[in-house]
Amino acid sequence: MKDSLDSFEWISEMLDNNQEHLVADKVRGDARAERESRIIAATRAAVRSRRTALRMQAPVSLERTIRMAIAAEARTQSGRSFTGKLRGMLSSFATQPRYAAAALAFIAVAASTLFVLSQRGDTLPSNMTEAALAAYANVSSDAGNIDLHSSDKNDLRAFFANHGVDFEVFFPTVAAELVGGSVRSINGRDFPVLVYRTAGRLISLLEVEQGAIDAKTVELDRATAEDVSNSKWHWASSQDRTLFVWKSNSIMCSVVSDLAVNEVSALFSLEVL
Amino acid sequence: MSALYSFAVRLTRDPDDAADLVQETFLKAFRFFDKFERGTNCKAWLFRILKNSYINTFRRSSKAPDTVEYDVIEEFYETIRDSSVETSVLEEQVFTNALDDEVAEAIASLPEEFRTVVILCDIEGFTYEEIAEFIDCPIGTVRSRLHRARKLLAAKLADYARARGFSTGEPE
Repeated sequence: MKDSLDSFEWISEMLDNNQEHLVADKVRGDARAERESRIIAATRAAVRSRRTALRMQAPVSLERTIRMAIAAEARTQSGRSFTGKLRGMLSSFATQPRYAAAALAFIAVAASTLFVLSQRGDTLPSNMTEAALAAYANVSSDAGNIDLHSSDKNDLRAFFANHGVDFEVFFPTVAAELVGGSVRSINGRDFPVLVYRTAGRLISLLEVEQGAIDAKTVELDRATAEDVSNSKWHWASSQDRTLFVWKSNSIMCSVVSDLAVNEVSALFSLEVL
Repeated sequence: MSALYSFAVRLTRDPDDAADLVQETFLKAFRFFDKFERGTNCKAWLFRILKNSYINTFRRSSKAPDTVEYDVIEEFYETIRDSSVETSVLEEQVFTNALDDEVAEAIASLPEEFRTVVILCDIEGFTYEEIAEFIDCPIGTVRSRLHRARKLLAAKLADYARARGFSTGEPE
């Protein structure tokens, strides 16, 4: 019986390999095979056409619960080793763009534990570069973790003000579409992340007020600080991530994107210059 | 995360258990990230952790003892092959008219091994190779389970269609 049961498995496989035309050729003239192929194709289509409906969204609270659990796990490690682990995660996907999206989804959660730990007054470093990378990972993850989807600056200003951002958010002139914003906490203080899109690619902009750097709430790498001071901007790139930092009045702006350095700098050059 | 959660719900059939399972998956991934092989598929790695966690933790509990009795399945398969999906006309129309809930119910009714491959292939869009890696079995097994799962689904959907008054061409 097994042989007869399995005899049409090739139909499923060929359909899944986008070889519908070959299936049609192969079953032609064989009534049983034709019927089987129709049934399998229709069933397969019935499920696939409902992918969106059949996928379930994770509860909003789940990510936070997981962050807290990872934070508790991380507290058993030293801050240095945890930061090292995070850097290892970031570098591990940076060299594999093919798998970056999935890795980002995981790393977004792991990385954001930095903020959770910071909120709790832990002694982990709150480096602005790491915070900017984590913010990008968060908003560009599969779940699209953007707190407010809006291109309206007034809406976003009100949202940030209502969510603990205690300084005037700066909206740079950018040749990209503003799509929303999120709030990130570093050492108990809330900072805005603006999210832009251009040609289907996301760009995150973390804004940190200079006072937070002066007060050591947020750490700034010496190299970054020197570059911004001497050259007006600082940039760094890995294989698929670009970091671009500049200062506008009292706001330190950290842009992260998967766009190339020249593309990012072109988008924001007016503000920098 | 939603892809993992969605898969977990389909496995456990319980949203709370699914949330626990996803949390356990992320914790294990975080704990053992140094074991993740660079250059391999991170999503596949996470799904494999989730599936193994489910087998090791959740399936042991009384909530979801769910194993495939192949003899029963084959017997059922033989039955439906001979009768209930004698859909000689317009399967496309009948199945297209199925309700989302009916498709979800039909998937939920599948034995776990079959449910898993349908979810991973038809809902999550993984390849046979990736699925074989997740569930740690040969590609031939994935192919076989997927085909049988679709046959079982077809039978279920045909039942629903008949219950709603659609003709599937089955002889009266």
